[in-house]
Amino acid sequence: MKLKSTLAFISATTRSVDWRLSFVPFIMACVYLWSSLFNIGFSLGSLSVFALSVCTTFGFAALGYFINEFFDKADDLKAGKINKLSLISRRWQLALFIVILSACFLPWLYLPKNTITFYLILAELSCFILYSAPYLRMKRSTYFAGILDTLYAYLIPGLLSYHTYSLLASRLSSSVPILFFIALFFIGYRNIFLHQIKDILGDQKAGMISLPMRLGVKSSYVFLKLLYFLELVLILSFSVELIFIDKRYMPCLLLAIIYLGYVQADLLNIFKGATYFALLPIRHVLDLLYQLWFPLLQLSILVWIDWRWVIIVPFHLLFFVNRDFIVTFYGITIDYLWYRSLRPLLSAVLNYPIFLLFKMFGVDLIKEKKSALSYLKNKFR
Amino acid sequence: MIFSVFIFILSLLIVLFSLVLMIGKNLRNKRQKDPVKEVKKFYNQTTDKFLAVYGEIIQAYRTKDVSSYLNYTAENMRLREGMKLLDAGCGVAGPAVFFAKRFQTIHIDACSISDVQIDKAKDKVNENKVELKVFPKVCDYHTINEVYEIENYDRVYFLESYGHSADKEKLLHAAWDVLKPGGMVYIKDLFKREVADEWEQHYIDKICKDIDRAYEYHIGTLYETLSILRKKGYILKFMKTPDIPLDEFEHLSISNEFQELFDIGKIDSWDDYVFPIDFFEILAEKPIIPSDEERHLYFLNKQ
Repeated sequence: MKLKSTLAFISATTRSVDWRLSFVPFIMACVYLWSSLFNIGFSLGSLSVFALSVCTTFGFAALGYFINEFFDKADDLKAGKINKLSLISRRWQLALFIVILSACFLPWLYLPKNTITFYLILAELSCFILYSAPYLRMKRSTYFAGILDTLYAYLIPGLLSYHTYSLLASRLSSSVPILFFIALFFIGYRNIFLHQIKDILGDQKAGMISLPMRLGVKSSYVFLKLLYFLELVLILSFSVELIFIDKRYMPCLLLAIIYLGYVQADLLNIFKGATYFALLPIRHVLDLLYQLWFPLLQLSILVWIDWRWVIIVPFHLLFFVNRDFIVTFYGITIDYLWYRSLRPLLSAVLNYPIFLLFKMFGVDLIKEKKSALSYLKNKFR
Repeated sequence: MIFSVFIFILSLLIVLFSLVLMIGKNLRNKRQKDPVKEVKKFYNQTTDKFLAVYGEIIQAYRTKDVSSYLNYTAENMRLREGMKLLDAGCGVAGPAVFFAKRFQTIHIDACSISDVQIDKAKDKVNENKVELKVFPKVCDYHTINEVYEIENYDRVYFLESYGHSADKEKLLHAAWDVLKPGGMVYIKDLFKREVADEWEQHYIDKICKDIDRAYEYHIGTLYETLSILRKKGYILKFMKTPDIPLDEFEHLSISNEFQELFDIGKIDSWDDYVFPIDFFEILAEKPIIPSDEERHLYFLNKQ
C-alpha cells in the first residue's frame, strides 16, 4: 500500500499522465524498432538493456517535468494554475529529485555508451535547463520554445535510443532512417504547437507570447495545416524508407495506409479548414498511430524476429497503453466481428433452416412473432 | 540521402493527390440539415427533460423566484390591459399563462414549432382556465406573417427563443408584418460575447458553436440583430443587460444542472472555459410613420 501511494505521489508530482501514455510509448516504439533493426536477439543481457532503457526513459521524462515544474512556480501562480511541486515540502522535493536522478543516470552504468552518448545526454539536459531555468527561460521565447521542447521530448531521446542500440549491436545500421528522425521532429513540433494553443489563455495571464499568439488565429491554423501535411508525407516516407532498409518493415507502410484511410474523414476536416479544429478532439487524429499502433506493430515485429520477446508484451500493455484505447478497441472489434458480421451470418445460417422446417409443418414463426424455442414451449406446456 | 529525398518527394505527391481527390469527393457529398426541423426534433425529444429541471419557464437567465422575473419581463415589455400579444417560441406557454393571469383583458397567441410543447401548452392553458386568453398553436415562427393576422399585435416577444432562428432577418421581418404600427418586438436572449483578444474570441466562438450544436441554437451577435432591426425601420427603445437584483439572480445554475443531468451541452472541462455569452433584452418599436419622407423627422419630433 505504501509503495502504491509513493508511486502515485511520484506520478502526480512529475505529471506522469502527460507523458506516460503520449510520447513515452512512441520512444518505446523506437526502442523496439532499433532492437529489430539491429537484430538484437532475446537474452538476459538484452532484456536488462530493455528494462534499463525503460527506466532511463521514465527518468528523463520525469526529470524534464520536474525541472519545468520547479522553475514554473511563479508563472503558474500568475496564470492561476496549480503547481504540483509547490504542494509538497522542500524535503520531499529533494527526495523526489534524487529518485528521478537515479532513474535517469544509474542505468547508464550498465547501458552501452561512448562519447556520443554523453553528448546526447548533455544536449538533453541542456535543453531542460535552457527551456525552464530563470534568466535563460527559453520557454518564454516565441520561436525557440517549441523547437527546444521537441528536441528534448522527441528527437534527442530518439537519437539516444538509436545510438544505444547500435552500440549494443556493436554496429551501425547500413542505412540510418533519416526520414524517421525528421518525422520525429515534426510530430513533436506539431504536438507542442497544439499544446501552446491549448495553454494560450494561461500563457497570456503569465505574460508569455507563444508562437500561436504571435501568429494570430488565422496564420496559426494555416501553419498547423502545413505541419499536418508534412507529417502525413513523412509518415508515408519513413514507412517506405523502412521497407528499403529491411523488407520485414512492410507492415509499417500497411499500418500507415490503413490508419490514414480509417481517419481520412477527420484529416479532411482538418485540411478543409474545419473551424476550431485546433480546439477539437480531431486535432489528436494522428496521435493514436504513434501512441498505440506504431509501438504495438514494432513490438509485434520484434516478437516475430524472436518470439521470446513476447515477455515484454504484458509490460507494454500495462504501462504504455491507455486503457480507454483498449476498451474502445474491444467495443469496436466486438461490434464489427460479432454484431455486424458473425451474428447476422449465424442468424442467417441457423435461423433460416429452422424457419423453413417449421414452415413445412405449417407454422409461420414470423407471423406468430415467436422464436422456435418459445413456440415449442407454448405448444408443449 | 538522395534516395530518402526521392522517397520524400514521391510521398509528398501521393498525399497531395489523395487529398485533392478526397476533398473533391467530400465537398460533393455535403448535405445541409433544415434548422427548423432540427429545432422541432430537439424540443419534441427534450421538452420533458427541460420541464424536469427548468419547470414551465424554460429560460436560463432568471431569478430564483421565477414569477418575479416574469413580472420584470412584463414591465420591460410595457404590457398593458387589452393588448394583443404574440409569444413567438412559447415553449409550454409558461410565461403566456403567467401574463394571462396577471392581466384580465389580454389576448395571447402562442406558437412553438414543437407539437409536443403545444400539446403540453394546451393542457396548461386548460388547467389554469385561461383558454379564452391564451391560444397555443404549432407554427414555425418564421412564418407568423403567413399564419397570423397582419398588423394585429401590440407585442411580439421572444423569451430565449430568438436564438433558435437560423434566419434572424426573416424572423424580424415577419414580426414587423404582424405588429400594429406602434407595436413593439421584445427580445430577451443570449448573444455572443466579444473580447479584444483574438484567441480568447476564438475560444468564445468555439464554445458558442458547441452550445449551438447541443441546443439547436444559432447564437448571434448583438450587432447583427440591431442591424436587422434598424435596417427594417424599427425604432430601438432600449437595449440592455437584464437588470435584476444580484441576490435574486439564479446565476445560470439551472442550465448547469440541466447539462449535468442530461449530458446535453455538458462542459467537459472548466480549465479552458471562457464565459461565451452576454444576455440582453431589446425592445424595438414598429413606428407610426405616415410616409418614408417623414421618417427622418420621426426622431426629431419623438419625445
